Amino acid sequence: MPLHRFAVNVPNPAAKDVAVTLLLKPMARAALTGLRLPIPRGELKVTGVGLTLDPCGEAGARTLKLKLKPSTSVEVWVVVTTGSTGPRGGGAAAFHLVDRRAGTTGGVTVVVVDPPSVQPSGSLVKPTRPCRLVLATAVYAVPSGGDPSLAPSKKLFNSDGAVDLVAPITNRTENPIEDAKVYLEHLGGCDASFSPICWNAGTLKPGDVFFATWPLQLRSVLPGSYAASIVVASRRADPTRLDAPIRILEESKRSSNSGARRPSTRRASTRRGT
Amino acid sequence: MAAGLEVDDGNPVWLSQAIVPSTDTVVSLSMPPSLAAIHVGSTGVSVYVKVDNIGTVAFGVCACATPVPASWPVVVPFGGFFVSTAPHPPQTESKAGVTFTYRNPTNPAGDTLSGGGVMVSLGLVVSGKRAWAWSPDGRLFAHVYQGSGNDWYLNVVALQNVTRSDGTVVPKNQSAIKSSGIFGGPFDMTAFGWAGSRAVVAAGVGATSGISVQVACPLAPPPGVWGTLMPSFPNVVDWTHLVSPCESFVAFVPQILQPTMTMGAFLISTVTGMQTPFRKNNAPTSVTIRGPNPSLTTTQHAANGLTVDDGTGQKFTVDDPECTMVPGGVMVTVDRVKASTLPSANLGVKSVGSAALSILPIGASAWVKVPNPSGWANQGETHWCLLAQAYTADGTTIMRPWNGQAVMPPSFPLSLPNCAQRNIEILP
Repeated sequence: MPLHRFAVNVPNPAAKDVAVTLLLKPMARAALTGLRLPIPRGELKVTGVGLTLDPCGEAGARTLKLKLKPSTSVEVWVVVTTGSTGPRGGGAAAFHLVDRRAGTTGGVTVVVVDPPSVQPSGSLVKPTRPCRLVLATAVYAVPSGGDPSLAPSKKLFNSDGAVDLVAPITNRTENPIEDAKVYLEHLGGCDASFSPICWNAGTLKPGDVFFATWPLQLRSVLPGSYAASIVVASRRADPTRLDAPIRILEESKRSSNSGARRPSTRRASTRRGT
Repeated sequence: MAAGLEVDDGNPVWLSQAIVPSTDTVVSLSMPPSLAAIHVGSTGVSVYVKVDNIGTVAFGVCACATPVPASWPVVVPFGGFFVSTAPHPPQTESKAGVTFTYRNPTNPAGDTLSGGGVMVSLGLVVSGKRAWAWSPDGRLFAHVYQGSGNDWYLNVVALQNVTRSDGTVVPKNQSAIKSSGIFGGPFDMTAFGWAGSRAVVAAGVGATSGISVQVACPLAPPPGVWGTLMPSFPNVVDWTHLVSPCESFVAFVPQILQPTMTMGAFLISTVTGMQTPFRKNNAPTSVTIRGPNPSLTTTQHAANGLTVDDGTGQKFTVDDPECTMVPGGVMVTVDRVKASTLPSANLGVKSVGSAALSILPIGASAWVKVPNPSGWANQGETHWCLLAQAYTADGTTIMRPWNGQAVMPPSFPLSLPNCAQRNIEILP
């Protein structure tokens, strides 16, 4: 018999003792369907359900009474045993764990799924009307307030202070792109702080490059490679994400920002999507 | 005009469909992702949050709404000017209930402002020479007087509470800015002028040589005064002072009277009180003037939206300094907390991450991608709550509703429209 366990935290954030009554109630099938969860459509045959404080327990009562000291919590285990899955190849069942205590009622819902969910591989969701602006080159950094059109010879970041992140945005189509806008959505998990800015790049003719910049504070930022996201938008097009890999070097491996040059608008490749 | 953001609640409330953890690569902000099953070791699972603009304020739009094309007007010289040390009765000028009274140097009451709740002493003008003007919007009053020599003293007084660009407030009756300088001779009626209602421009012959110029910006953070001494080329170069359509900049533009000469124009920000370069596609550039009739015209609030006539009829474009960059917008922050039977307990809130949404028109929606750099460790429990909130980056228009990383955070304000929750399972 498949055994399903759920650890549920029962807290007492108050400053005095509290008595808690926990109660398990089955959730109606229609209500479970109404949640629109990505779960098998079949119904699981539940052969046993209970509450226990034993992490290894295999059964328990449907009601459990607890006394909790101030500012403490306990782990309660919801244990559900089910029969074998039906001919449809899987099913689900759900229970409300109701928490009743003086002056309040809380609770959680646990959903038993058999077989367990598996993580699907992500798919590419393409826009219907993508903005045609692209990165002329990979993004790079210049000293704070520096000329963003002068790219450093090595497109690496130093982790020692304030810089401007530069995204050279260009139009590689054969027609002007009107009402162009650019902004930085995120730094891919890099913990550098940035100031949200939207750039109105106006009309970009074919081959034009607009140097969008955002001040970054890199002090104490963890070195590593990150996938930043830059959003471009234009008239009659969907706002579109551009992949913008960035790399934060350790301070001991700082690169110099000498040898500045203007980025080529022809050689660099640009990937769309993150 | 009311700003409003919404992250849709679910039905039940803990199952918001506007919060979706996903491994999808969603290129467009208008397309929803598909739900991922999260495991402790999952990588590449970001949290997408759908944010709706339910207010009447568009985000990512420049605050300068002046219709274009708009020519940059010339700084307007002060209208008030009086000089006399001879005895005379107090004289007055009034505007919008406030009266400026200027008195003989022997009258100890000196120059004053009064009426409408305003009561300000501007001091005794021993030289008997002063100039003055209300700002065009009537919120400020500028008074300048000559000292014992060719020195001058400017005082800009707030006639009502005014808010500086850094958010500080200058109370009514207080001085918003003071500055001083020395010219090579007595100042005349054209030496001082209002640049819109944001700055006072002073220009005159320098004490020793050249041209002394100064821009006093009462709405900039202190000190808010920019000044320099420029070389003088009499009968070869003259200068005109222009104001941007939304008064954020003063342009010093040379008028080239001899065709062999060229000279650059430059900008002073009335928001910061500092010099700012002209830019083209956001790279610094120079604006060279070659003739006697230069002009600036904003044609669009964007890059290359400022058309420069170099004085000879030749035109070129640079970025509109007022609207090419629009700071601010919307921030989205996601936290997660172990599900418990008492949702308000907030035991051990973990940060997922934040992301920006810098463009969101009125009535529009966008899916914001919030990466999770810290992984999906589940601390031995599979049941977690994702808590998403949307607010404005300026911290004031729509304040951040909740800080889950604070010590002992309060309950997540789920009842607010810009807060929502989705419970998820983080599998071993």
